[in-house]
Amino acid sequence: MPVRVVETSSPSQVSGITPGSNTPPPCTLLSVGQGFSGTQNVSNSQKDEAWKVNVQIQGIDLDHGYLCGTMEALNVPMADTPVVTFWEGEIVDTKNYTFFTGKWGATTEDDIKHWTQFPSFSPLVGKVEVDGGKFLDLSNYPYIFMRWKEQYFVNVGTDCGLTIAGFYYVCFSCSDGSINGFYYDPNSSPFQKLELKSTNDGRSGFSFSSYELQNSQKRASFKIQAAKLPAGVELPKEEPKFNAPFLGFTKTAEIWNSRACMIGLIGTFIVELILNKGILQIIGVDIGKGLDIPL
Amino acid sequence: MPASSPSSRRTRSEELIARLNSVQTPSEAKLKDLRDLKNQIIGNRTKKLDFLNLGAMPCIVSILAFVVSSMHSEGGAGQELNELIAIQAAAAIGSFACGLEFGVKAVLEVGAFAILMSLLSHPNEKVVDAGARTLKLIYQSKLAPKFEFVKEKNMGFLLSLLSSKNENVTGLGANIITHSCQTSMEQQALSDAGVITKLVSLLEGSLSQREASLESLSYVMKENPETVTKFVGPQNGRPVNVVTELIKDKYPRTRLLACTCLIIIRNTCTSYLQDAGIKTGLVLALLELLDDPGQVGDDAPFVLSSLIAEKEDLQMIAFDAKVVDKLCNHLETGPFQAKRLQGIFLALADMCSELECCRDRALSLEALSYIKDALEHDSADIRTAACIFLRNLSRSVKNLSAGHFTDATVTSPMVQLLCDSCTSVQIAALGAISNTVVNFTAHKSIFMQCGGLKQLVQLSKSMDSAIRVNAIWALRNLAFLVNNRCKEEILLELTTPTLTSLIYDPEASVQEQAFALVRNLIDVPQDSVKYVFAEDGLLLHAVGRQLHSTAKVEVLIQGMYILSNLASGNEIHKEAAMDQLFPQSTDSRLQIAAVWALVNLTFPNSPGACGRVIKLRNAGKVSQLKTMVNDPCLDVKLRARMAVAQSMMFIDA
Repeated sequence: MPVRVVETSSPSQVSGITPGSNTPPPCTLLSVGQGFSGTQNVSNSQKDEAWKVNVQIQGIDLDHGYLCGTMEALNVPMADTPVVTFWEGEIVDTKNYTFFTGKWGATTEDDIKHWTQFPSFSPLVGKVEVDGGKFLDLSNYPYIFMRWKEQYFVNVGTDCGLTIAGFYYVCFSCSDGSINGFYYDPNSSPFQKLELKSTNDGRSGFSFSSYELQNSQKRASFKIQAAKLPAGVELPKEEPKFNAPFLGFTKTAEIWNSRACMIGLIGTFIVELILNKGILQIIGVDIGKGLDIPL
Repeated sequence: MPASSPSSRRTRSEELIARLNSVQTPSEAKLKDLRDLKNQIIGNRTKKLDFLNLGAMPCIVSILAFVVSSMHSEGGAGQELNELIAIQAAAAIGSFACGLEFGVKAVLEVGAFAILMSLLSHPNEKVVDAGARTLKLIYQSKLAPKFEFVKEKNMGFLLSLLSSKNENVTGLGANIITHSCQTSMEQQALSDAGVITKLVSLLEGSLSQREASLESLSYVMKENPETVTKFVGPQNGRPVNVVTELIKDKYPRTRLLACTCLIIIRNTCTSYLQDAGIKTGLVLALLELLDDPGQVGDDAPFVLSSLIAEKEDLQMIAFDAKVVDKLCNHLETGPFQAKRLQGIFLALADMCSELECCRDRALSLEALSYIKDALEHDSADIRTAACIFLRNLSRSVKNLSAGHFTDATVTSPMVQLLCDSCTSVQIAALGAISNTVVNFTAHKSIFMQCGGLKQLVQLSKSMDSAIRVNAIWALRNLAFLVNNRCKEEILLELTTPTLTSLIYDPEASVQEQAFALVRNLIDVPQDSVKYVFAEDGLLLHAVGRQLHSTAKVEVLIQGMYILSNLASGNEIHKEAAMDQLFPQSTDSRLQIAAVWALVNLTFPNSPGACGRVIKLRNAGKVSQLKTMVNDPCLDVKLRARMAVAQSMMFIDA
């Protein structure tokens, strides 16, 4: 397959990372528009159920360690339609957020208890127990840890008998896009598990859409540019060359002036022929006397 | 000029002018008339215009010219009277010029400028004072002639003005600088001549000297790091401390000018004034100035914008100081004159550009309803500012997802603004629409019903590149995750030839957005990819050609994702993607996109995968992938591993 080398003036750049930072690397499988589906185990005093769950990422802002999206739960017993919630996530990037939650009723013991449920967390446990992992270098770690908190119900009322009071501890695997999570809510059964895999929506491959939100552009300085040509207009292949005439003598002017002159002369003769008088006589000049200068 | 008119009735004003014009009127009477005229016109705009139309200006100037020349030639007794006349005449001229552009024009047309300048060198203090005051008023208008600093004689003159003991004369010097200092060369020339030191000494003078000095210092330091360093540098930063103290001065205008000065220093040289105390002090000072009912309150929001624009830390400080609340409060207590309203919208827009907390607060304070009203305002500046505010508010994904920006009461006027007569309004509206159409629903019915799609397509054919790029950006965001019917509508309206011409557009940013639009359109390959093959594969051909010729990385990335998305389809699609060019680069983003394409091409369970893998191996792609397995970028590494693993399945078999 033909290949072409592209010059890039800037060094190898990945958006969202400042060189030398310890934040987790961006991963294309965790980008806007990406979908995941799987199950969530829901256990209450009566029984254990597994709801089918679809998640879609809607927004991601690595600089602020923020992401958000929707979660759709199917075959929920008390609901007629799938229940959709909107959630916001915190990425544990050691810059904006650490492994310690510090809110939502979760103590540091709860945090450690839940994070250790993920096998990929074990190498990090030592440093995290000390200070939440503030100085960990996650820039090459193939797992991204997050907390997801549902904010509101999108399509059902709050009286549907379901709760969104708790939050999920989430581990995302960069290599295959799989997501594992544990729901934490002091008033619910502990360690309800969320297991999702990256979906292809029936395609044979991965597909990526994107959007880009506009922000303040710099009050721009003006750049003069030629306007785009309207449709259908083509520029000529060659610019016409203009040679300035020598002393004002152009071929066309010469020809027409000569023609006018000749026509004038012949015209004068014809007038003389018809009127039988000299042209000077006709216009009233006295002839025969020359210039009549008194000397 | 009115001579004795044939009709018997003349107004008193006409008589006054006639008397002033007449050579028979004695000087004392002229003096009395001048004083009378001056008293009549002070603060009275109608009278000023009346008198100007009666030819007052040439009349007064000729009197002034006459007394000036007599003062030079005669001596003795007549001098005192001449001086008094000169003072009154200058004062009258000044009054005409004060706040009235028509008056300033009249003064300049009659050539009074030079005469007034000559008054500055008169021995009598009062005459100098009158001349200086008048010139100061003239220099407050943009119509005043530009002062050429680079001429040595002029610089010397300016320095003499600044060194004078007379308050009005020094004020004039400062006003000249404020008016005429525009380029960095002029700033440098002023700095080299020692003007900054003189202005610094004026900071400790009277109120008007302080204010004039602050204003001119801002103009000398604007965007010029050298002059800033010169100002801050000597005397252990004492000048900066003086200005910092002035933020708490009792006069509002002084406070505002001091804030402006400090903000210019901060923005020009990022090493100065970065401590938290200064930042908070500036925010609080400006917060208070927002309440001022006069001109200061009109300008304060703009100064606030210059402080916080693109600076997240300051936006946070301002949020904590409840700036958003105050600005929204002002919106509620309106209506305002246009300038203040525009300033408030722009300041709010800057506050909401990065911080979600600011956007949430503004929305909870009914910001959207103020925006809706402003979208139909008479002033183009306000319409633009409201659109900019809406654009930044709609950067909140949470609120976009909740659909807060998609109801018809907002969408319909926005679509109307796309046909606005003013280009800046159109561009701002396009910016806001680009964001609000991202609402994660599969159908954009309200927007389409309001005729938004038609407008966007129309604007994407504009001759102005700024409009084109914003229109196609909006279309790209519109096409994000929409259903097939919506995509069909978009393509039907846009048409493949237009899209192709956008791909070939001379502007790289337009090419990038056009590619991104195609990428979004073929995201769900089953149905929508047929457009790529429509009209003999016109679109695909264009994509391929442009990938070949462009060098801009952002365009290439989008192009690669088009191929990658194409390759996630069925066999025909995969084969079509194989034929296109795969650029090589060191940019990780481009590498990731290229590797995804390879992952899709070698996807197991597709019948032609084996053949494709062989082709790729022969083209050296597989070995290239193997080197990428050790790339420093994690995403590239993992994808390359995925692609290699898939390829090896077929190679080994």
